[in-house]
Amino acid sequence: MKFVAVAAAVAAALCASASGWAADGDIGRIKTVTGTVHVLRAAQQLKAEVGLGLRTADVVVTEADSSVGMTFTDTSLLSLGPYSTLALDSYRFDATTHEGGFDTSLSQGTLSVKSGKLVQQAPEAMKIQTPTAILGVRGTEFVVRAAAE
Amino acid sequence: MQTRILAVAAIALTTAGCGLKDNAVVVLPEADGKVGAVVVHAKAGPQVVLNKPFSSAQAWRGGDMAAVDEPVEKEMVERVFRAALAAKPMPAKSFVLYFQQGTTTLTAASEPILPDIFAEMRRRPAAEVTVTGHTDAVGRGPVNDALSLDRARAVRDFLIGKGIAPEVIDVAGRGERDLLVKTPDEVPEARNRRVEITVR
Repeated sequence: MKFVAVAAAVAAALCASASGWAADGDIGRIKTVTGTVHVLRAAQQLKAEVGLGLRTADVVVTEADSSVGMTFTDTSLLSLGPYSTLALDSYRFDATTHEGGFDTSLSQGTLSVKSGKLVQQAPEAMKIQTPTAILGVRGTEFVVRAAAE
Repeated sequence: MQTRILAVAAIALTTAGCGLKDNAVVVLPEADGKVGAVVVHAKAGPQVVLNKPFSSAQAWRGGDMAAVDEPVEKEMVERVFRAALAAKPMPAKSFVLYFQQGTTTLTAASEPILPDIFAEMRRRPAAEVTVTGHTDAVGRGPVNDALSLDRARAVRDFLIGKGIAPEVIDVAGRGERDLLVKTPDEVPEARNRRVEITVR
């Protein structure tokens, strides 16, 4: 009887994380996906689906004819076109003071950005590293293209 | 031989997104025409501030983003970034609610906003909500931080009671940092004592 209860609890925990609502540590969430997109996290390659939570150090990778759109807790929006690789290097957002920082690296592909509260609070709180420059974001909407070296 | 050269050139031009270099950043206007700014810190040379609509900094593969502010055509941006732009999630939308003094009962004016909030959540995939409490300028900062967070938590419970799943709601108390109506310190203002509900 106890075994069934434990098994059910384990199954429920697995289901919760599969659906993406493990809120602790989530810095953002996937809201749109077309084609083949993965999130590389530690040694895992997760299939990117609408609702998947995103965490610091995740690397988002899109394939041919694929794209993905993400929101973050500071309301910023990032989206990628095909053949793109974006690393979410670090993310801190204090919901009270709006202080923190959001660093990403686009090693290849196309990226569209709408900045949010972090940048409203402090210019260049959001930084994007590309093969040829580091971009300091003062706001608000822009696009970036990167070619792998 | 000639046709093959032309074919290769055509492919190269197409894949290069004809006219836009392999590495580029382009600043875009917002819906209302306003534009922000992106500072380009290139490896060598001075930094460039891009702050006009469609201004760009560009570099070939292996190159350096030169301190040149080149305008690009809107159509080119739409073509090269078509997929990324189409994948953009909806921008966050905020609603302001007022409650009867010291309660979690909405004022009459705020009641009709609730269905709008739920409609906004329904039209978004994997919708999430941030509830942010705000105070006016009366009282000390840290006290208002705590007060506004308590208010946000009470509203969170109220939304859960209305059927919104707890795991999609987060709360914040901004205290007196975000006065809707600017007042000097210690001046009461009912319009500042509000809760903001942001759907993303």
